[in-house]
Amino acid sequence: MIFLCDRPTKVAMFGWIFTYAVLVVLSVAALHYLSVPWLPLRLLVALLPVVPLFGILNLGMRKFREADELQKKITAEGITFGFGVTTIVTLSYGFLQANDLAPDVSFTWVWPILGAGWIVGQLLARRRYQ
Amino acid sequence: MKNRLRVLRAERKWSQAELADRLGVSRQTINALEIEKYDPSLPLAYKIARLFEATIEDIFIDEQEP
Amino acid sequence: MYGRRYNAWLAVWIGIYALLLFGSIELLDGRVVTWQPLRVLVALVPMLPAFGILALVMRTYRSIDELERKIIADGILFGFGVTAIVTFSYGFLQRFVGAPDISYFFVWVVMGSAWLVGSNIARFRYR
Repeated sequence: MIFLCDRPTKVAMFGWIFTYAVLVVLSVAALHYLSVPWLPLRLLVALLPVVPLFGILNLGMRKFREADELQKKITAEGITFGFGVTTIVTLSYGFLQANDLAPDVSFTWVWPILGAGWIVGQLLARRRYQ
Repeated sequence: MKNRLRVLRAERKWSQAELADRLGVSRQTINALEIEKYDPSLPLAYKIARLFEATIEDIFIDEQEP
Repeated sequence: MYGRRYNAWLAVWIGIYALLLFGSIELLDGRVVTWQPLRVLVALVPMLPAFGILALVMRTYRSIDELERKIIADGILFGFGVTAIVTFSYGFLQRFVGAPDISYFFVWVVMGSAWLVGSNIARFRYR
């Protein structure tokens, strides 16, 4: 992910992550201390931290489009690998859950699996062209 | 695909980084092209040909017999 | 490899999956296998055809036309992004609004449909 490294991008990325962190704190505090009654409003407040994630996604997509062609290929291969690994891991976990061999856990763990698969896949892909 | 990129670059005494800058790609791409582990896209192949004032066929050798 | 042979292989793997699933359910529900580690193994056996399908997809990908490849790749990129956001959002709802815990099978539902939508969007763009 070399293409992420220039200064304006780092600043923008940091900005989005900071906004996300602030919104997490605010939204959790609001839900906990304010006892928001109306369900759709609760959903909105709970999902507020997701908005900056779209900012990060947009930033990532822009950097990808501007990237050098080989970098695009390597990144795409990394993401595909992450996609495949996540499919296998989540399906396996689903089977274990169905047979009461694993606990029901939150979906927040899916993103780390996607990310780790992506990183490993990208490292493997980079080697193919070196 | 076999290519004469390294030879052509050496003739002009350019480093990989310099060639990368002139073509608007990363040094990683130039290296991958030279060790023949990557084939350029069509637009890039044309850029390379124009830069070295040759045709694409002069630079990239397609080994397939028709 | 695309077309009939691909469909044939897919049918084979799905058939094997059905058999293994049936077998594993019989062994586990019928309490034939009781030793925990073995139960885990038996529960995961129906996953094996997934590797077969993965190998099939990879072989097919290598054999198809480059535009078709780009379309599939674009679909996967879209699927990755959508899945990340949707599952992460649902995770938030689970933790802070008490949304129900559901099976991880649904992650694949999100991944698969996002991939389909993404590749159709790409197909439309390259028309």
